[in-house]
Amino acid sequence: MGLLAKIFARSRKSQLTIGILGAPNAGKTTLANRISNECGNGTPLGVVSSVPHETRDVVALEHCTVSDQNGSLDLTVVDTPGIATSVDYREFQSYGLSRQESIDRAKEATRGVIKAIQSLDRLDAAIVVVDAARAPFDQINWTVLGNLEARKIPLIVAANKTDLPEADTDLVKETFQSDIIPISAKDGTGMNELYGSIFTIASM
Amino acid sequence: MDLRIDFVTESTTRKMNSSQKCDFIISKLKGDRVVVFEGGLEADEEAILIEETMNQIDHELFMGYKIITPTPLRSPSSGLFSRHKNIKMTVIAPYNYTNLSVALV
Repeated sequence: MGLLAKIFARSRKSQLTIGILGAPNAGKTTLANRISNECGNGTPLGVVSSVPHETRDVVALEHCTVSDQNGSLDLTVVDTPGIATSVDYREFQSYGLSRQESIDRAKEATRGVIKAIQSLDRLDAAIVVVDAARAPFDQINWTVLGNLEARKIPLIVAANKTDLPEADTDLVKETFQSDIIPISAKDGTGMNELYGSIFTIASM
Repeated sequence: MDLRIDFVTESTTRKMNSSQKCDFIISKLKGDRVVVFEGGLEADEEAILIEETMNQIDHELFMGYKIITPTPLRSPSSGLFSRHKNIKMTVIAPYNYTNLSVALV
């Protein structure tokens, strides 16, 4: 190990609380479940579904240990509901739910959005998950980005769903005008790069 | 469909605290009006607005809003958050304005 690497390794945080944020259906829970699985927890953090707002509560996985050549990092992974400025119960009806079921789900979704906003207070860092197979600009939540910036919370932009042929990570990069990590939370592509970025943040 | 836009000057918004701004905006949205805030909203105010909106969604008449903060084009090297550096206004419209777009030209 080089001198610089030793210095970074020594000064690196040993614990980090990292939130997984993003638009509904970007793949946040799929990513959280993969991290949970890869750190040996084996228990999924949440249910993955094509119906938006499937995750309606903040769920945290504590003591998820990841390691690199410089040592290990004790991660708390916080999976959050999608943050939105509107919730339309009719959207759920299009997935086959009855009107009352849709309204009930929409009520839960509004509570989930509030919990997601409030969860920002506890984060040391954030992974903003973007569905690379959908138009990225529609998924940018400037409120979330602005709040992360205001709270000086470092973030990683993960362009997810690279396993899909229509995924366009260049467009995500162009839209966010930032470095991104192309990943597939579904098949695990890019996870090492993602962990590398988390270690970089822990060294900041 | 009638379109009503309320332009709120910076001198007006300066007199309001964050909570008052959010109450003001939501009352306008519920009246089916588009609100243009000169000077824009701060990040924490946008967060408060989301929380308060979620509390007030009734799943019939008020289901949230769309928000746009238009800025001039920036250079590709200007970075992720550069969009927030030159905020001049925030446009907030009722959710049912499905095709809202705003451009600074």
